Amino acid sequence: MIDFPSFDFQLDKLIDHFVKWLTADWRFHFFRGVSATILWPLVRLEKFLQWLPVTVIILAVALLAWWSVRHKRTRKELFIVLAEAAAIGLGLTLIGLAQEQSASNGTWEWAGRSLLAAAVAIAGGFWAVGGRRPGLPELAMAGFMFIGVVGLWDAAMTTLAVVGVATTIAIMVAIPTGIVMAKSDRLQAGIRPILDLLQTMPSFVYLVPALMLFGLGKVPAIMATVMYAVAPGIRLTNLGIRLVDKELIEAAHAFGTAPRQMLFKVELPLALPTIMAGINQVIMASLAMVVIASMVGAAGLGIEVLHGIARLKVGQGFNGGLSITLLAIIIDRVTRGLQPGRESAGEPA
Amino acid sequence: MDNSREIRVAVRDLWKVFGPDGQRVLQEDGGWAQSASREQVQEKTGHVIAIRDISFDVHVGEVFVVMGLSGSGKSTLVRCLIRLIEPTQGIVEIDGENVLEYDVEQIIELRRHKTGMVFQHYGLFPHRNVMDNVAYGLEVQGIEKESRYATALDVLARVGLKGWEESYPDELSGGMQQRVGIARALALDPEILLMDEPFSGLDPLIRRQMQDELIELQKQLHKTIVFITHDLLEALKLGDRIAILRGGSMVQLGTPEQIVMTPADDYVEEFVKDVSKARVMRVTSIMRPPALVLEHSQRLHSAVTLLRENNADAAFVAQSDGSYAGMVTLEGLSRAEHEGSSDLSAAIDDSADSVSPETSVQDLIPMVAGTRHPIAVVDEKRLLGEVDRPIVLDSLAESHAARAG
Ligand SMILES: Nc1ncnc2c1ncn2[C@@H]1O[C@H](COP(=O)(O)OP(=O)(O)O)[C@@H](O)[C@H]1O
Ligand SMILES: [Mg+2]
Repeated sequence: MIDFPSFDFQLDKLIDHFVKWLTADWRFHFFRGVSATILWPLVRLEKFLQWLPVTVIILAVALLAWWSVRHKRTRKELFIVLAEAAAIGLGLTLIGLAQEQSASNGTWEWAGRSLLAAAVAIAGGFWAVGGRRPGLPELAMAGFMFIGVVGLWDAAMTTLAVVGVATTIAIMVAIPTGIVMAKSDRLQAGIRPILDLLQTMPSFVYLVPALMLFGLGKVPAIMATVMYAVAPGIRLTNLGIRLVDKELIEAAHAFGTAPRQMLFKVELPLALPTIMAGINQVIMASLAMVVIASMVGAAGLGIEVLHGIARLKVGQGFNGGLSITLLAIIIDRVTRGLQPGRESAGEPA
Repeated sequence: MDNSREIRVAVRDLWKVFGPDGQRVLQEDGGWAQSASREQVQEKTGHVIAIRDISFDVHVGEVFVVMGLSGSGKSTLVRCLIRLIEPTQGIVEIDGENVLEYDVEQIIELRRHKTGMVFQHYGLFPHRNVMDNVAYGLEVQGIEKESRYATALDVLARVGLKGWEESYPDELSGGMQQRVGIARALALDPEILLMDEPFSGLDPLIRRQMQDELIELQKQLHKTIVFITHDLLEALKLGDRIAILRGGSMVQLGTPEQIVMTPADDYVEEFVKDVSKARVMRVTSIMRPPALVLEHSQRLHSAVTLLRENNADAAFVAQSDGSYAGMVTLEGLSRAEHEGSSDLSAAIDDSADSVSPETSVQDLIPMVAGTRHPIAVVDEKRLLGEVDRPIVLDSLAESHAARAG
């Protein structure tokens, strides 16, 4: 047997050199600048989410979930959801106050727990008597309750901040790129293989250059996440615009639509459902990167999983993993429902 | 109707060749392609000659119908007029300006102000409600919301869609969607309406109704209309003049009367021969009671008012004993009034066509094809009823549909 002969073709070295070149002197400052620009909103968002009272977040999540299920966007639903959210919020506040004032306040703690039970009772009551099955708002509140109860509230807020910033950057890159790609077949032919590469490359690979360019921390995590998550956003924006009915484009032309108006009045609105599906996928891909991103030092839920694996603490890993999954499910369902549109469009369940 | 011969659209030697290099195909090898058949050219070069050397004028205020079977190049032709499709060769003049020399800005201006288009599949924007669809053309012109909505409401009332502003296209029937399509074009108040088979997708009853409404609308608006259809009856019913396309070439151009009397196209000839039922059908079975009958002794001035009020451009006149005296037209009345007479009799046209009750519908076809006014059905001086072009053609369409079904 002859082994594969060795060649002096060292692509790996070349890439190493390139990255080294990128990190030298002035370029280093450039990446520091980028890093600072990303860090600024990230830190503020994280601080803000952690500062927000738990009650407010639960309420906001419940309302978003109520709003996102179009065929249940009724006053009665709103009333039920608000009642549940109020019971949970008040209950959590009471328990929190009781714990702050040490053990002396057993009554408050007791009242708080009863309120939490009341929230469950409201949902159960409407189910048993009114035949109303608990839906997305209940799932969302239960999910956040679980995250809080297992002690991962702050970690979840950190993760939300990282995912939020990464998603925002990815969308800001994806939509314009998708638009120019839709406008030019040559650009499409050029960008497509890059997207394929981005999506098939094992996501670990993004960590190394990100690490070298931006050092340890949340910024390389965000950059690696953006690299991984941007592709579906670009793809679906491109697709959405290309699939707009040619007859409508022609009709728009017939009425004297200028190029910019074509984009904003016809193409983007008509492509919106597809673009929204793309944004949804961007968010899901970002969440899928949470654990991997935590390897370069992004704190949050990912760290829990990582520690769980590294230290063989199955329970910790499970809590972290389940929390990520819950966030993913809730965000997925809510963003799917948030598509603008109108009532009669018929919402498939 | 075409007392004004002013030309609004002039098309000269227009060619459209689909394919990567249509111009080259037309010029190369001594221009053999220009005289070769569509199939030959397609086989040899992969190009399709969709429009072949077409010339015509469309006069101000006329309904110019382009008729032909599927694939004859009708859609390509209308699109070439406003360059939704770029012609390969030739001239298209609108109000004396060659639009093929326009730059992008000028073309956009043309489409915003001079022309409005109506599409076979309506082409309504599904993400906009009826109001915003109708106001679309005004919106891209940058007109304020308030003023464009006011215009849209006006136009919607005209096409009978008052109260539907908030609905979305997919909530409307086909006929109503096309009303929105027409309203969207009318909202621009364009001089020229381009209609590409606007009624082809509608079922026969609605189609006839929409045709009648278009005729009514045109009586008020006097637009220059280029109307595309594959339906000869529709062409005869609506057209002031009809151009017949076949395989990309124009095989005949004439008034409905000329088209029926001396058909140049086999298809038309077949059709005219084919109206077998029309031979046995009598005028009495399709006529309607006269819409408007004036007294012979009526004052000229009050007659004019009466016609205007009834939105009619002609009426019959009866003697005091009820016998038929002839017809007056709005034109004739105005002329007589102008000449200073105050008596109705001065305006009566006793040479106007009238027919006996035994007349067959087939014999009526050339008569109604020659005039837009109604024709009196008279039995021994007694006015029995009237027929006009739409009635005759609708009756033919019905008998056609009955046989086909
Ligand atoms: N974009 C195109 N590319 C190539 N051929 C075309 C294109 N559009 C139309 N054609 C051809 O041109 C001819 C005329 O088409 P069209 O104007 O749509 O006819 P009509 O409207 O009378 O049915 C047809 O043979 C059609 O196949
Ligand atoms: Mg067509």
